[in-house]
Amino acid sequence: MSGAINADSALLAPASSADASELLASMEPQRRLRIKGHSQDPAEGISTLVCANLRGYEHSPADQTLVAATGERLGAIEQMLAEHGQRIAAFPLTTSQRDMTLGAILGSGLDTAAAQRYGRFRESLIGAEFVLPDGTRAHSGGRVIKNVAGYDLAKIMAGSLGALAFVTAASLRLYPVPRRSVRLSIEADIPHAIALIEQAHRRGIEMATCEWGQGLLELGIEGPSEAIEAAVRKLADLLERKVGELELSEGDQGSPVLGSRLAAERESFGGMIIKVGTRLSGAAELQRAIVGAGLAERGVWMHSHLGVGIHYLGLPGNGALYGRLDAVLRSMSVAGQRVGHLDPAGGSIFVGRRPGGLTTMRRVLESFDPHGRLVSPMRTSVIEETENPR
Amino acid sequence: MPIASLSDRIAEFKRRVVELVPHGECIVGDAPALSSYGADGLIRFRQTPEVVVLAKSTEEVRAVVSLCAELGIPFVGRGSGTGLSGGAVPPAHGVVIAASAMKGIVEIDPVDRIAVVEPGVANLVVSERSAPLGLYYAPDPSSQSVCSIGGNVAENSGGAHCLKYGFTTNHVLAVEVVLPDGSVEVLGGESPFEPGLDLRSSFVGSEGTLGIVTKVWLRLLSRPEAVRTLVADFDSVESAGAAVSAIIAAGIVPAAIEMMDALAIEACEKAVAAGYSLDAAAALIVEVDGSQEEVDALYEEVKTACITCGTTKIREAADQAERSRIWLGRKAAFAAAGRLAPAYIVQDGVVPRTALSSILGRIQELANQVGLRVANVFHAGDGNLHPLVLYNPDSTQESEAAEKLATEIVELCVEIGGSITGEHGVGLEKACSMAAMFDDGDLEAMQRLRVAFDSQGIANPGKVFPTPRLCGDAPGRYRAHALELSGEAVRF
Amino acid sequence: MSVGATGPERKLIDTCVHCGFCLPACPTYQLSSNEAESPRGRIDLMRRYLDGAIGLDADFVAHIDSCLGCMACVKACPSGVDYETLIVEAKSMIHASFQRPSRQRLVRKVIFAIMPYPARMRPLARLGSLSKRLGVERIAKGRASGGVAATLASALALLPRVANSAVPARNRLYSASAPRRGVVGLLTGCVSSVLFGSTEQAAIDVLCAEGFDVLVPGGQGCCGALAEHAGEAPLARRLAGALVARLGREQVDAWITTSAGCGSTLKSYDRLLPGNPASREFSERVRDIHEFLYQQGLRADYKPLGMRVAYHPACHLANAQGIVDEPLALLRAIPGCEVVLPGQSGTCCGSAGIYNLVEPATAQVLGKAKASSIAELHADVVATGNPGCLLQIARYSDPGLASAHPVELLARSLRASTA
Repeated sequence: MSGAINADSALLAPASSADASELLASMEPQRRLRIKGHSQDPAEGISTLVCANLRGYEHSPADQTLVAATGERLGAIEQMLAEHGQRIAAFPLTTSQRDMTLGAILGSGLDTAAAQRYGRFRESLIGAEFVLPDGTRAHSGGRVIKNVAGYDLAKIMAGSLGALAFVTAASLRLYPVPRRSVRLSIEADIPHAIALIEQAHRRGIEMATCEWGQGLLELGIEGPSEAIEAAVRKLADLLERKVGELELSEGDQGSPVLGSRLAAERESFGGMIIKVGTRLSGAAELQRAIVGAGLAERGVWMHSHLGVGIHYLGLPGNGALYGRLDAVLRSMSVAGQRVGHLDPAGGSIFVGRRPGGLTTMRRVLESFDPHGRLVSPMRTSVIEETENPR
Repeated sequence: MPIASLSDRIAEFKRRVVELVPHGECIVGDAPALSSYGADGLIRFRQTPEVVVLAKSTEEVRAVVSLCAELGIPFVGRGSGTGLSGGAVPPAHGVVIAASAMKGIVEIDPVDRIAVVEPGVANLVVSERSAPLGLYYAPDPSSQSVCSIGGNVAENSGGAHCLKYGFTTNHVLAVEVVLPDGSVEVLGGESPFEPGLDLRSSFVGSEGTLGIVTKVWLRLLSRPEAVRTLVADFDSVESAGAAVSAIIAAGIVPAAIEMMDALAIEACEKAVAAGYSLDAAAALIVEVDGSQEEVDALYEEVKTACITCGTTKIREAADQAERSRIWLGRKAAFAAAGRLAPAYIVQDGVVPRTALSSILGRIQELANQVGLRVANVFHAGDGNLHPLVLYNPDSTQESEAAEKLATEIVELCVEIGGSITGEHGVGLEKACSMAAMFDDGDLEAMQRLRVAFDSQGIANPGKVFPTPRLCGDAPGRYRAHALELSGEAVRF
Repeated sequence: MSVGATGPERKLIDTCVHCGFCLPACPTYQLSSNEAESPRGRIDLMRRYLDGAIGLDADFVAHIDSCLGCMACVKACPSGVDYETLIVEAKSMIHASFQRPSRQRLVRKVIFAIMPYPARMRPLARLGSLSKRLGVERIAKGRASGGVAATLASALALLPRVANSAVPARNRLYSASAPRRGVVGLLTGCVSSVLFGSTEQAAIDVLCAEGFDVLVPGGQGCCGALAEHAGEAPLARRLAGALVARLGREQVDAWITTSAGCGSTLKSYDRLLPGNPASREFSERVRDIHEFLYQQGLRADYKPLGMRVAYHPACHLANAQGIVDEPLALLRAIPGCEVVLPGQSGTCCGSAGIYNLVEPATAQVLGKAKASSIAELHADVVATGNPGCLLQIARYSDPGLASAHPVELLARSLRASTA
């Protein structure tokens, strides 16, 4: 070990996998750790293991792959790739998302508008290096985009909230920046937005982004100029408008009009955010149920990566509305999870229908971390759900 | 319960299993039929099962797996048995649970673009049944007319169009599975986001070692408005490789880029007369799809790239029938190698795309050294190569040389930053090559996932992971895991 | 290599790489989902038998017997496996080396004592049409669950309600009624010559109208196809030898058959009678009537027949002989004739030689499925180029649906008055 890290310190920021491995292997079994992207407020009896000092990357432009240490930040990666005409499958919404480390993006299971075109971030993940809680170094996958050797442990790390292992590097598939990108903003409530998406699919239009919030649908169209113009013409047709009457903006920055509104709302939001998944058509039912339960009038908002059926529900206040939302989601058999700043001691992160496989999730958590060294809201929630079935 | 001997437990299993399968079929005493389940698409490996169950429902699978768990009898799930790594070869003294009779399509939703299917349904059938709704299922392994969705889930199957559209894992929203303890769970959900640990992603591609899939929620895509396909001939593999790089560097993501060398072209022509040029050293099949305008723009660029890189002839598919013929040739490539030699090994390795031309040269050198012929077909866009090592099975020396060469080729792939398998899986065939790609720590991490799903080690044991029995003595590399030492888990 | 007791050849078996592309094409696999009921499974059984890993037992025989011999797998096979030879060799090996249960033996004995011989078949056909009118077969079916009675029930059920029209006179040369293009011989066969006189007559009419003299030699027996496909190789050889001896000297440009099942065997007598130049020379001149008319080109004046025709491609035509487009082209040459194909048109109807007599359960499932996919087409007539298929489809179809060999429709069109 480089000696730069004091294993007794409350903040542990190894600079390499080897350091992290040595650190973890040398600790007593009862030491408790939480894995984070960067330093956090100290917590009683818990040290924080951060990936921020893990730096460096290897970019193969011709192969369109990137292997990066998890301490690299999204904004810096975006900038570097842009010079090669490439991008990764994450279109940050807010400045704080752009400032996230790769490790934090992975661990939190962050979704962005890019999910419409490229799938969730996990779909671009072609490999990972990590250190198990007992210090065992391991990797899965590799640096080629096609690879089925062994279990895909990289994807299970995505969204695991640091409960399985300390991920030190990730291998990502990259994509060429499209020739041209435009964003089209349309005033539409959810049922209308869904109908429009369906008609667009039928007309052979595949959107690159498909965001909904605050009564606004924002669609991204990407590709060669001729193709974009044709798609915009078709969309104008579907909307029974002239192309000139559409609200169009150039550029691929996620969702420029809607995005800035949502970003402002998110950054200043003090309540609880719950992420849920539905079928495309399920979004309308979800919204109806929220209105029907009187939650909308109490200020509950909804943003969606609509095309892929991923929604964020914002509950203002101190959680008083939580029980009512939980009941709404359960009645619809929709599973949700709290996101954002989570306190492991703050109760289960699961809302609504319980996700499938909880018992197996618990076994996986206990198999990766038999001594419960990693303190994570994922672990506490899964244990709580399996011990106290709702 | 007193520990009964293996033969007693098998006898008890045979006695009890029949009642558990009221609608499906149990093959217990029919020795020839049992024997025909001894091998999958890779006939080099064979093990006759004790019992074969042709299940009709999740409940029947659950009941049979529960009995396996109770009696400690290993089992393997089987779809259409077209796998090319021996993944569905039964474990010794084991049971085959076949999904071939579970081939219903539960639902196709045209708005949400979701299909819910049983595991035995053939890959192509999903697309055929979705076609009237303007939809299709994107992953298209060469065996798509036969191979089952359940098998695709187990193997995380790829296909020619994966470069643009991704692999099975990118198209499976959820799986209903029977876990090795007999419990039934749905992993994943109807949206790509499902709370909790993403067990769906681990299950897809786990080659039957984590359980048996009994229902699958698939993402469908809208059939692209336009598709154009060309075959470009080249007088060398290098210039064909250069054309692939040029297309990718132009920022184009074609629906497919396939490469064949002269020997592969010859085999395909003999099998299906797809109209390939027999005098070309290499040929590329390039397909672009999307909206009409997008296809028109990109197709011309693809052609220009081929011309710049010295194509000797471009054949453009004039209509759907010609396009089908072009693909028929390519998709028949493996089986067609039988036209060139009495036996061959289909290899499956991956290299970074940019290393394609150079690895071909190395393969040729290795083949020349031992005097064997190798035909090559690749999914060039994603660096996935399929060398077909031709040999005469009557010669023991040639057979051994062919196996050695095939192994050397994949290990060479790893050496230059690739993988031992891109889509066929590890199975039995490559379990020993896993050590070339993964060290003890890596394998231990994978085992931790496995024991969480299957504490008894009864789900398709002997596959994927190297074992001393399978790979000769390599015990020096093995370190006992803490759980093994404490007696909480066993390695298998 | 001759068909015989030695079993399938290792070399042919080894051309199968076990890829499984045949599975979706195989009707018995689609029904049973059982690997041993599939082409690659059956080839694997042969391989395992040669390896000594499994014996020639009743289970083995059942899996080989269940093969329809429809050859749909041959079309699907990318490796070019000669499945037809393999399955015939396996069936012959069973015939030579396996002692079938007495009931099965008796059934086969009865079938092959009657069917290949028109003189014995004729009274049965008359009995069939009588019994149909009296409803006897329902009684037989009710009693029997296997064995001879069941076979008899199946056979009676297949026979047409009205014995088909008279058979054209034998030992005659029917003269071309148009500018002469050549001379052909008509192969009359066994079952066909008893039950399908109208098909023979139509073939003669059409060939004459197209400018061919048609020789119909008498004393022709069965060609051996039924026996060969059932593995009764010695009988098949005997029948084939007799036919070649009877016809070998006739000077005709081509031998025409209206039966797809016969055609596939007639064209490959070299397999039954290897090293016999006369049989090879004979085989080389055999043409299916669709194939012949299509190759020669239609010249006669076909008048409109306003009808919707459901065409069923007989396996032994489409798969075994590769005659796919020709019948469609001929039918479409009839003005006003709309030709449609049923869904899953490539799947066997379950007739398959003597299959519907010895494997009635599977044959019934396939027959019903075929009949219902044809019924969906709401056609006026179902046409197919094989007598067995005509019987099988008619058995499971609404009695109101007419059936005919395509050449009968051509003949009808010749006779029709100009619209």
